[in-house]
Amino acid sequence: MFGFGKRAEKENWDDFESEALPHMKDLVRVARWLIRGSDEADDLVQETLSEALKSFHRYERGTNCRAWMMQIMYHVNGKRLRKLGRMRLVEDTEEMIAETVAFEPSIPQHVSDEDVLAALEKIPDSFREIVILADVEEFAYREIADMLQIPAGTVMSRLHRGRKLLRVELAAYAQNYGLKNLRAKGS
Amino acid sequence: MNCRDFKDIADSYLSNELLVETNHDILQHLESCSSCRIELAGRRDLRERLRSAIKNAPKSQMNPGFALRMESYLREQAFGKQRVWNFTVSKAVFAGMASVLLIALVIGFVTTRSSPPLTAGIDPTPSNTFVPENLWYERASFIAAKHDAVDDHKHCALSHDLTEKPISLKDADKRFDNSANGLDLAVFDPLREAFGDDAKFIKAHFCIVNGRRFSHVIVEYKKNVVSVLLTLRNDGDVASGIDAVSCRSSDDLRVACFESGKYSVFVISDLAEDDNLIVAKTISASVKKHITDDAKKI
Repeated sequence: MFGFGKRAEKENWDDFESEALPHMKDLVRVARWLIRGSDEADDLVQETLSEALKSFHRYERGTNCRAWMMQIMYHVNGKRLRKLGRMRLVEDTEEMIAETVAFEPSIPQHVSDEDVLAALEKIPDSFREIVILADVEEFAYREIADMLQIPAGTVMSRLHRGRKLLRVELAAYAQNYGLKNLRAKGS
Repeated sequence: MNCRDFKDIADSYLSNELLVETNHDILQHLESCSSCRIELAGRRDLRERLRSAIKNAPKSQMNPGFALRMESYLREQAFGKQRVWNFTVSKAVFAGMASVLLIALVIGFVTTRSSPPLTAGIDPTPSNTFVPENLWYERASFIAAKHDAVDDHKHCALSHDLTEKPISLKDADKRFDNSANGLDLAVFDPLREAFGDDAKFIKAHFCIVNGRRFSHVIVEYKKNVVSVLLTLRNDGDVASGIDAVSCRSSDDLRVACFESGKYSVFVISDLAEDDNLIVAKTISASVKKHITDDAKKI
């Protein structure tokens, strides 16, 4: 009986090691963009992996292990925020800002990585995280909906608005940059 | 379809989410509208740029020390907890095991009284689970170097009773053919990056123990003294090239080792075996690079 237990725990660890652990760097990346502060983000990843290991018997082989772990991370983060009293709902003003962006300027050419990241930092959290999950991490709408516990339709609309806000921020950045260059040439 | 309609659904087109008919309408519009073609290319580029910018951003990068610490922590959790469950949940199993243990003790007592133990004089196998198949660290020349390294740690890092006074790494580089100068940075930089305040630099020098020369970097990790010792390998021995492994010592100290170029490198401390190995794995890439770069200079 004890031997069987040892064998089972070894098999469970081997599966976890080969299926779950390779996604650690993805968890770290998303956590770092989800939370401002690398120490707090790393703590979140540690707690996530620990929870994932405990619940690994519930993971269905052949499904998307990366999405499953990301879902755990969002769940753990939700608990953490509730504990800290920092749980926030998407503010109406954020939705309104996104809605009222009527004019859409063209995407500027020759933008650097730094420009894109600076523009991304400026858009509200609720839109930014969905843009990252969809366009960077390439999760499906359904997977994102499960992670964030919101309807898939909300994911789609926030993604649409988030991308639009990103383009607007980038265009504003490029415009400022162009004006600065013009001034530099003029002086 | 006009340009405004196109802009509304251009992202969905890029994500391949539209019906075949709508895709057809878009393609028709793009054929005749150069500004929308530019817009589409811009959005595609932005998506790719965003992906690469985030994935390459320093903020997104995982610390190698963190990965090692996590793996060790989870491994402990995976095996430690299950054992607790086995003992606490199943009293029947526990009772059965206790009986087996009692019988084994009785048999053991009887046999040890009648004959000498069969394992007398044989070293137990290393507890490390990552032991490579060819035990390169069991060759006699390596074991001799390891013993000298352990002596060096005891007499130079833990106490200070060496017969020959150590010299600086820089002076050692001038006087001997070795990779001493700069080894201190190669050791400490990755440790500081990986463990922050848990790692502290103590000192570095070049010392001689039992006639063997060592470049010696002493650091503190988790409040334990850790020696990193680099010494020339025997001429005839080929470097293993395998990553750091634990190669147990004959006393309480833990030893991890790896090889690079013409050198053997030892990491010695009284840390737990896993922690000692983590230190060795954290520094191995940087030390190997230091040795390779130094060899190119010659």
